[in-house]
Amino acid sequence: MAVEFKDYYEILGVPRTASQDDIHRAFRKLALKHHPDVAKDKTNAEERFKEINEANEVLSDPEKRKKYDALGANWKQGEEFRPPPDWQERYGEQAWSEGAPTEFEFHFGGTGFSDFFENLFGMHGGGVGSSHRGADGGEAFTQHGRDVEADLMVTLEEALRGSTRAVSLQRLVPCEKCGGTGRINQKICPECNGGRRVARTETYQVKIPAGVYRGQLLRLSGQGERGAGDGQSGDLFLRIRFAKHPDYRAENDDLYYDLDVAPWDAVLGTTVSIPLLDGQANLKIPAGARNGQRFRLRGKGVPRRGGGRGDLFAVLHIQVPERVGEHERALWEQLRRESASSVKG
Amino acid sequence: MNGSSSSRLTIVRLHIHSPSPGALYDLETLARLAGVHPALVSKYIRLGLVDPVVGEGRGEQEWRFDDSTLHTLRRIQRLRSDLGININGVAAVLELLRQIDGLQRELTHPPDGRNVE
Repeated sequence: MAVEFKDYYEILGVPRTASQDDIHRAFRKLALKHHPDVAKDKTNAEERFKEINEANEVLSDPEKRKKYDALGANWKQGEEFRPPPDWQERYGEQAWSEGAPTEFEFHFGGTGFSDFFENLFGMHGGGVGSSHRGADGGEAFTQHGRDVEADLMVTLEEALRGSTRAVSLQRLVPCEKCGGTGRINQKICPECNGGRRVARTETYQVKIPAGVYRGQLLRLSGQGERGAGDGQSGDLFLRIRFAKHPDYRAENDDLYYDLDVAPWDAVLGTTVSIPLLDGQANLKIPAGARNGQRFRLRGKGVPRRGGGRGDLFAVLHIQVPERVGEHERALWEQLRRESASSVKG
Repeated sequence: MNGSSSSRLTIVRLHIHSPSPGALYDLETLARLAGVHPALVSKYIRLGLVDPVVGEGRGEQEWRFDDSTLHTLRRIQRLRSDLGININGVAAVLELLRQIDGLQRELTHPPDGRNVE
């Protein structure tokens, strides 16, 4: 079976002559940058981190590196990899040929390592997770599946009232047709082409309970990456994000609502209706209200951690009429002449 | 990765997942879910890496934790095992991640000065 050749030196950004120290340094630097927990770009971090790990796994081990160097000399990144003659001698060509019986079993997928790695080092590829000897003397491998994280964008109304939402995630999952072995009756599985994993868009129906707060985690137990061997699957963590609301600005648990009022309403006072996430409220504007003045509607904000809700602030914006009719203009002019206001134009 | 595009499929799960983000766990349960020993969780709490949601400052028996504690615990374990960061280093990383999260929130929702009295 042909798999894509991986240039581990390029992945770590070191020359082929790099010392063990250089490799170690390069790995540390890249691993810190691309670790899914700290990476800035989370979308590809998981795959990139695995790649870096894999490169390090090979290059930091003198024995594996020697083997890799012997193999890798004639391949370029992106080219298909086929085993060289001396590997055929050692393990038998069947291992890579379609349809032939194999004596070199890739008995385990899901280490998080690439197929290329599995082909080269699959038999010796312990070193992550906890491996132990199985009863048959072969290496049984147990690894917990990693957690998967995704953002879940909800409207403020949904956060308050709760809802059921379809959440779609694309992920690589073990091929179900061949049970993640890549083979059916010693033939390459047509579903995953021997890749053992397939890209799959999974859609979950998730019930979002009422009162979720921003940043809250919804844990879907066992819906993360599949574990290997007897290892448990990871969990899927959905992190609540609030979608931008057309009427409000959200700041922490508080909401801000721009309340436009006419100049005379600000001067004389009035009662206005304010839309809430869950209904309406009447707000009394006192006479002589100032531009920018904030009116607090307690507990009408968004759900907050530890229960309860933040506040809603109506922020007064005095709107000057863009156009005035003749009569209206006359009234304003009269006002200007007669006003006792200390504000002078 | 040689999973070809022809093997992409879409699975729609009709089963409705009902997470309970309000669920609280005691120390034993939390430790089991995180795959670590309860004593290690206690140690993290003493060092201030995680806090109980309920019962902070009281006895271990009264501590309660939620999924966000679990998430942090798993993250601590990943940082330690994947990157070989020691506990003090992990504490610093967690704090920096919190700060970055706050900064990113400010970038997306800048506080509007004109409304502040």
